[in-house]
Amino acid sequence: MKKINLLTLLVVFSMFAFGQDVTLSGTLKDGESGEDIIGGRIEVAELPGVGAITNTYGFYSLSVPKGTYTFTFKSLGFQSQTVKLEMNDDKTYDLELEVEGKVFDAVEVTGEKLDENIKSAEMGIDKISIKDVDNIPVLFGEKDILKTIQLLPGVKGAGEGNSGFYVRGGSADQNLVLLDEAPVYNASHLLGFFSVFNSDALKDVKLYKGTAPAEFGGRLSSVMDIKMKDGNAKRLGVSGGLGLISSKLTLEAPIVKDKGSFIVSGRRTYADLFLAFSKDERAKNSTLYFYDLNAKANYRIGKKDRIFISGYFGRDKFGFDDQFGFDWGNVTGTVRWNHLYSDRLFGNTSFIVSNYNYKIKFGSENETFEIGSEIQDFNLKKDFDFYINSNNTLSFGGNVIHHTFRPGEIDTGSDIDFVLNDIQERYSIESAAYISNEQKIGKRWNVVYGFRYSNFTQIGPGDVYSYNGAGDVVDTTTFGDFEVASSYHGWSPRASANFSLDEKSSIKGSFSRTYQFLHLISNSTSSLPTDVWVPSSVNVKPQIANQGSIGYFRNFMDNLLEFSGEIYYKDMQNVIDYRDGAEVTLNPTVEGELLFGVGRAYGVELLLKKRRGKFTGWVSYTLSRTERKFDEINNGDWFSARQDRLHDISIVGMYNFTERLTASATWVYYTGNAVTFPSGKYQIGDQVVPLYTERNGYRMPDYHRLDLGVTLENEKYKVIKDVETGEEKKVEKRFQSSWNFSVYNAYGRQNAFSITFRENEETGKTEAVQLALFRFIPSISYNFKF
Amino acid sequence: MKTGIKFLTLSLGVFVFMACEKVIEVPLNESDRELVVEAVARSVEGESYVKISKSGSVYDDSGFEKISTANVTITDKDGVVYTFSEDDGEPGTYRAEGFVVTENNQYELNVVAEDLSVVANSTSLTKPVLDSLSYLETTGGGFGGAGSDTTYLVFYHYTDNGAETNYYRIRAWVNGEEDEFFYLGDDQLGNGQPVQAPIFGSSVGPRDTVLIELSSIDKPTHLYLTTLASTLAGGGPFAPAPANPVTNLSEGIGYFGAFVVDTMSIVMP
Repeated sequence: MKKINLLTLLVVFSMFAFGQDVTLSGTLKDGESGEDIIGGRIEVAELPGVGAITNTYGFYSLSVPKGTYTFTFKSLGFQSQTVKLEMNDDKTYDLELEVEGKVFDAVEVTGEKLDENIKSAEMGIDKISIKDVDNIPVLFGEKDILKTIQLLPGVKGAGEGNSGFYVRGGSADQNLVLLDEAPVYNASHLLGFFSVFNSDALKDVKLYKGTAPAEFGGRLSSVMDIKMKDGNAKRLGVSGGLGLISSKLTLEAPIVKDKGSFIVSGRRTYADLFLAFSKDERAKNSTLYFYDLNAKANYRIGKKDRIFISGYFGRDKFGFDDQFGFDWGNVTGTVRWNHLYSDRLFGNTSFIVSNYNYKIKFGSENETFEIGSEIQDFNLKKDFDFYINSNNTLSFGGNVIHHTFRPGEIDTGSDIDFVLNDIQERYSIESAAYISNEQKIGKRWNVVYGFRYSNFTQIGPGDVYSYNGAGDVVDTTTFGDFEVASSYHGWSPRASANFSLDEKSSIKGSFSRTYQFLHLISNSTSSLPTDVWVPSSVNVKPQIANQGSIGYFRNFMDNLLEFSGEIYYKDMQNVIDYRDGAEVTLNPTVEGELLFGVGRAYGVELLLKKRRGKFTGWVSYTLSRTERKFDEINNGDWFSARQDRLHDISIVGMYNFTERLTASATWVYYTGNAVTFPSGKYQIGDQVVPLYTERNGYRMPDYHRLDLGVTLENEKYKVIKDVETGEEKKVEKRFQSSWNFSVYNAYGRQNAFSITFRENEETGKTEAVQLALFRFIPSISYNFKF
Repeated sequence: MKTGIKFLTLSLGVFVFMACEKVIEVPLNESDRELVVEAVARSVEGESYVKISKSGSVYDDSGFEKISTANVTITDKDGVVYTFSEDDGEPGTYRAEGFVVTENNQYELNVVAEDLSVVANSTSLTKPVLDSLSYLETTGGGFGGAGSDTTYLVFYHYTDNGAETNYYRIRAWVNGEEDEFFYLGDDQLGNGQPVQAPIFGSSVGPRDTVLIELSSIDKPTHLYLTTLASTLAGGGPFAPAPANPVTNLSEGIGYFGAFVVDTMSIVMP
């Protein structure tokens, strides 16, 4: 209660203290599609250092003393616009920016000086432009933000062709992946080879590797904030693509022009179409595909309110004849209501649903056996942005999530005469409140500070087990409806600061503490659909991490080149591993299989990026270590985590040869993963068994790969003659299309996907056998829009 | 579950045709030579044995050193001591005449070899009963099978003992040849329930004889065999970080298990 009073006081105080100023507020949009511009910048020529940045919904608010000013609105990829406004009263000013480079030659000329990376206190952030995602070559030509983001420093891929990722030494489940605020519990299709994100439906992707805004919480290592497109508010737009693996189609249109719009985007793979050619009857009757469907609508009600509804539905379906079926997928839904309480107080209320489930079915007709598992969230969230004055922006809010975990629900057909018990459902309530202020101090300092308080309560009904040291159940306590079984809470302070050395360079530092209450229990090194989410409980403490980082940021050649270097250190508590031989699926006492330890990760990340011009791209280098320590593993000594890779280099280049032709290349190199190999062998029965001496004591061979791509667009413009003047002019064609060709692993290196030790059947000698997956994989895709 | 993953991995054959394997040189450390004890006590006379050997280098294929000078005894809960002596024809293998595991008994193994004294305990449970064997006829041998072949999927049926926490091992022989897979079960999800499950490993054709063995084992033995199976499968791209099996021996590597068995056979039409 005290805290709320303090907050109110602070808000009221601020209002009085800065009541003399007048406010310019409004929304910044893309002139072509009507999409909100996120992170657009507003500057005031007469007041250097004063400015505002648009929020997620394109809204900005800027307070200035009374007077006449020249405001410049700018955003990367758009032509800047300048207006002179007389500011005697609060004003609303909505603006649409024209897309830059509509005429190709103009790209070099209109290139804006953008030095956001120097000015902002944000650090430890990887941003990916959807346009880059389109151009960068990937496996099977299936563009994928989760794979592209792995090319940035501090982010490591889970393996060959895999969309899973590790951030700054954290594990894969320590990434909070949000699609329009809804957590996506399993972000991959088909054993991780593809992500669930169809980039045609996405607008903006940001990955926080270090100190995330206080609005976010619940995972240790990173927040990946993905925003779906709102849909074209100007006209009907259709776009699509045909690829080797999948095809996709997107439809977007205004509901009422400039007031509301919608978008529907779908993608489906067709690997199973080839099964129809099979001679085997049962293979013919089999299915193997996945699909994604994204849908979103928004509508503006009056000047102050706006409603958004968005949803994602995706599923992998696998079936063999009618004997076996396995399908899994996510469903998320978000309903949002933006309300402008005043021209300086912006609020958003969200109701979010997220569900991940899988089903496995054996047998046919009445002789069936079905296993289902599910995690479901209902989340109510309220966020405010309060633009106190030109130097202070306060963000605050809170949320409450109700989690339901169904680890295993078993159904049998009517002809099966035995009954198996379901595994008990688990329930918990996760709640949080936060406040954070972004403040400019003088001309050189820009700081963000705040905290997040979170609580996680495990509630009944259900049985709670106590375990002995060996993981065996020794006692059971039964809890009734809504009865509290265990509760954890924690304060997570967050702070980051930017000190500008001069116009071109700055030093930044940040600190944060994070809590994680949900843990993914995966008995494999890759992501499997059957991995289980386990909530914190009497037996499972929350994971906690502290991370500090320092960085140097500098732009060269008129902001043409951006350089950043960051150093970080992170310690982790209560990280999870498993007892040897742990059974994690369909195990009611899975908590007894868990081991708890500590972790540490540290490293240096360097990035040099060129964002404008005919040639764009970046070079990224990461030098890092990540280790774990468990009493029960490796004699209690520190050992390298699997994703511990000392060196990690990515080079990405894109070159616009002509208006229509873009070539791209990426090259990656990294130290091999830490891996456990045998140091001896022995015989049990007829089997030769490997003898292990230490966890992850060996290394896979170093990995490197070159991918190449070419995008060829059709003629974008047509020449029309003005009937009256006879003048010829270039007009953009409505129908636009492009071909994309790429080669994955262009020099065909055999990179080790796995190394196994086995006896040669002829000689009887033990050999190390390396399996390499993808070499010289060509792909072709055709994309269009009109 | 495992079947599901197996099917899924198979379906990824789309990718596998692009994959390639090669033998590479991987330098490995040399672990110390460890004492290996495999002690199998069974409810069938003449089938119990204790094998003692040493571990070797990964790339050394000259065979494992057998230990011939060990003292081996098994003592039951009534204090009866059975002395195991080395089989003349089989170096490193120890047997005791007249030794047989009985239901609901407790056994202690003592091995003294190479200055090491190994102790282990195992409990025998109630004798399990195979109710019946059945089969399902299929044509077209599944993935990659010829379209006209007739094969059989053999199912075993038993009823779990509701009064105990049970663990099982199931083995199968087709025409006297052991199936490469063994199966492990427990009653965690179906205590006291009838169980039916198929044998997947060997392909069974017309007029083949299938022998099924159902053993009741204790929890440590089950854990050892489970972890042994994952150690043997270890290192695959979808497998957990490989580790040594969880032993129930006080020293060395290996295990001691008391098996109470039931067998049944069936001849295909």
